[in-house]
Amino acid sequence: MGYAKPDVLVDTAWVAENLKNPTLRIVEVDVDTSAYDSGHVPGAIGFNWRVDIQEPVRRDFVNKAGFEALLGRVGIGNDHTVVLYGDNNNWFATWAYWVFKYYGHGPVRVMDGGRKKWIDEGRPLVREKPSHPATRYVARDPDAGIRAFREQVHAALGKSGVGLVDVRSPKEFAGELLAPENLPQEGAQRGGHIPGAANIPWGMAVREDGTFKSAEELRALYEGKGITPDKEIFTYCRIGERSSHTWFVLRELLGYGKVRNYDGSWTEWGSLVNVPIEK
Amino acid sequence: MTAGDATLKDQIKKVIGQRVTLTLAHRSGLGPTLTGRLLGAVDAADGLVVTVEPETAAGVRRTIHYHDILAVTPESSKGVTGPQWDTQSQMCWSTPRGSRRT
Repeated sequence: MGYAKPDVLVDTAWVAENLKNPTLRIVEVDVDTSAYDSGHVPGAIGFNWRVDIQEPVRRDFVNKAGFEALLGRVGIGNDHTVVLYGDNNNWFATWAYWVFKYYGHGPVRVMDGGRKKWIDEGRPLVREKPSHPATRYVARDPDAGIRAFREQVHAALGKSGVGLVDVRSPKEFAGELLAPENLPQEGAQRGGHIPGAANIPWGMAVREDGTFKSAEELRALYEGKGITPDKEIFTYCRIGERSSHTWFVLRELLGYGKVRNYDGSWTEWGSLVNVPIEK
Repeated sequence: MTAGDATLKDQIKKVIGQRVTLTLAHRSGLGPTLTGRLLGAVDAADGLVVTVEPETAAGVRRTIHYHDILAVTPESSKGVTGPQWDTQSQMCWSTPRGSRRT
């Protein structure tokens, strides 16, 4: 049995053949916000996750009006098929996918293997930024079923029928690190993990070339750690982007019905007063 | 990242494609050691993720975060560091494989 929604993934060859397809909008979203300017897939729009998709003051991603303004400004219409890709094996591309789905955009795809695979294959990069006519984008009301807030996670602790997936690296899970090892060690007051969470680092879901494993391999990986499709699943990491990668795997590739991404993640939970933490 | 981590990452990257034995942390859930071909590694901001095809399960891929790898020993280094057990001939020898008489 294959992926539950096979059309959510496109490969690099398909993208290369569709660079001039007017029904597509290709969008790059990276951890390293300078990567796009150094060269990107021809025709790709660049989203800076910090500037374009985050609220400038309070901690949240853009609201509905902000999302509509962003997509309208760069020329993405409601009927466009959006193809997302990025560095670090699509960490922020899958986060953007999750945001697009939160606001109800229909056709969204992820380029399997991301920016690295495109480069490894020797495909072209350009620095020229595309210019598309502005659109009047209309977002849907947020899909609250795919996002979790801290109260929902707290209320779910210890309940049967609930699965928590901590997708961070083993040393972050163990509380030895507060952030990915190559990033500043900041963002939470305490180290550790949410009680009962299974540590399944996001990278377990990909092959050595960065593309997603087969559905059979993914099913064995998650079910082997008790993350089964009958449960209500919460995914989290440090700030919610790596956990979007796992949210994408569970909901879109494996077809789990109840998967929420807790984007407050460890920077929030690890700084809350009087909540349980395991090490 | 500690200096030890950086060294281990470099060691792992150098033996991609080779038959290796990984010494693993208990939390990996894969046992104390795993021997097989190191197929590749994904290098991300939170560390290396290593894919191994175990010699006991051809065609199967095991993915391990390098935080759970304590040491990596390539096959090529075994013949020069001490006696090795040849699982095919069921014989033990103390010279590198390349110099073994046939």
